[in-house]
Amino acid sequence: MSARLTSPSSPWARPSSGPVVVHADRLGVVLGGRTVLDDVSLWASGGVVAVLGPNGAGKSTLLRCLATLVEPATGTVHLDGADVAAPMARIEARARLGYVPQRPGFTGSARVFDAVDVLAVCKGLAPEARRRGEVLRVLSAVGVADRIGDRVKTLSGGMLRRVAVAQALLGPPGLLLADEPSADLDPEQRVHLRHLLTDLGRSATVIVSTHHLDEAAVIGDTVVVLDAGRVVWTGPPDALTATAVGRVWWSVEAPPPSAELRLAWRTPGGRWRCLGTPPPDAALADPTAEDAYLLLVGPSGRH
Amino acid sequence: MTPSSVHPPGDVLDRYVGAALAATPYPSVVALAAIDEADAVRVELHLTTCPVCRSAVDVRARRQATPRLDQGWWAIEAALVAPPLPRLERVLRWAQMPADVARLLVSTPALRRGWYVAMTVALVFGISAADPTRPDANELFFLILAPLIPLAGVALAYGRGADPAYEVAAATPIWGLRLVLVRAVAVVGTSVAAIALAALLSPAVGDHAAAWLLPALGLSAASLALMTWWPPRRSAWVVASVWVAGVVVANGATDDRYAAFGLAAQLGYLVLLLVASAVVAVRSRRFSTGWVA
Repeated sequence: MSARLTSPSSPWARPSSGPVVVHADRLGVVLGGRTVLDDVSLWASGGVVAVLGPNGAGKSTLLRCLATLVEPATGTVHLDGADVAAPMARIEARARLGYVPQRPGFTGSARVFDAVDVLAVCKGLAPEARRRGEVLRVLSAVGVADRIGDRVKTLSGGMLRRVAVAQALLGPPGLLLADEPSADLDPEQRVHLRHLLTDLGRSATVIVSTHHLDEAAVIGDTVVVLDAGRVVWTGPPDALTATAVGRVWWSVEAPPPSAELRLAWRTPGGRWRCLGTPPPDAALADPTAEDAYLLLVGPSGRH
Repeated sequence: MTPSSVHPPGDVLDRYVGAALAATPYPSVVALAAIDEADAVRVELHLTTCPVCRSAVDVRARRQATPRLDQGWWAIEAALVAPPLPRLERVLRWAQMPADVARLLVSTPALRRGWYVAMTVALVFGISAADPTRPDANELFFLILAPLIPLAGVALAYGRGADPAYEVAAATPIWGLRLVLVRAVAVVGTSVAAIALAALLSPAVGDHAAAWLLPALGLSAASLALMTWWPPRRSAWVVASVWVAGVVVANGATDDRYAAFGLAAQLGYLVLLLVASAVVAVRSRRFSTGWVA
């Protein structure tokens, strides 16, 4: 567990600036009759938390819950010690959070500067000169300052994603919730975004969802692995690989299906890489973070 | 008072520096905790004799001034390079509308070219499509249709599906009543103006040229009131359905084909407008604090 995560016994602080203390306790969310989150708890105060999981694991719903958009069926969300179930606490919390939705939406005919400026108005930034300066700052931070006069509909998917990140950086926020912010970005832009998020993590709490293991490992001070709506692992990225020690082995022959074998696939060299509980005479392999992740959330079978 | 030899605590120095900077012409954008006047005097006396604390104040002043200078710099650069305000927004601000309200209003999703085109087409179609040999039918058709246009505008001005930026705006503190009212007033105002013009210009609309106004306002207000329970589109559909059904029933129940637009009915729409406005006022927090899902 990263030092950025504090223990639940810490006294609540209600700072007006700095990282927002996030405490989600035993969250349960049911949408359309389906349980999307089940008994999910999360505690963070500063730094970057990467929420990792396969598609449909509940990552977006968790972030929408923390963004005070989705009402949990069970459990609570406290932001800076205030339970956001209370309406006024929700409004106060919204003043300090930035949110990048999975599918950012813009009015196509709006200009880039105006699309961000409207959000700055919604966030209550004032006076106007400072607000417009802040808009230019965040657009520069994401590298679209040279397109501020262009219509949103002329931007590429990657550019739109960067504008969405710019909207979330307004303030700047004490809590940034970014739902797969690197989707649609090219490798160079991804690196830039990672720097941006880790920089912000020094002064704010940043919670990022992703299904890219490498990204979670690079930016996350803490990684939370979600699968089927439940937290299956939490800890620093380095510790993830360690969970697979002694559970990865090589096999020359295709391993027969068994209760001990979780997953196996044929590698380019012709050998089989096997995950699960190895047989006594197995040739153990050095695990990777990907092995550990697959053991936590991967499907069973041979590929 | 003599200078104290005890160094002031760090937080007192922070507040002393913050208060001093707030009094400068720098753009003051950070709310600073005020320092007690007696503390400020004690700090100043202490600084006259303590080089260590003078140095500490200098470090703090640089640290606190830098973000403000940055903000000032960005504000200046924005004034130089940001695109000019949209034409409509300039007009609104020229008419003394507050800058933030004008910005919200101009961003109303319904107030786009497509909305105006749809509104015009609906009106032209509504006026011209009816049987030209029966001008009364034309007028009645117009009176039924006209109140539905601002109602549709309200539904299209707010909420999921209408506003592409709905979800991200919903995670901000201003999302809610203010946004709803600004946008509702905008779409109702523009559509009422357009309908009034069409009513005046259309030969098919005669004696009842203004009979649609109170129903339009009443239905829009009723839709807003229902939006404190339901999503905007569902609210608009319910109100529109009740409106059309009500006119048809009134038409069938009496000999007067304009029964739904007579004096008694108009009083009813006025009451509806007042009651719905009261409901919106009482339940206004639902707009700001409601969950999205």
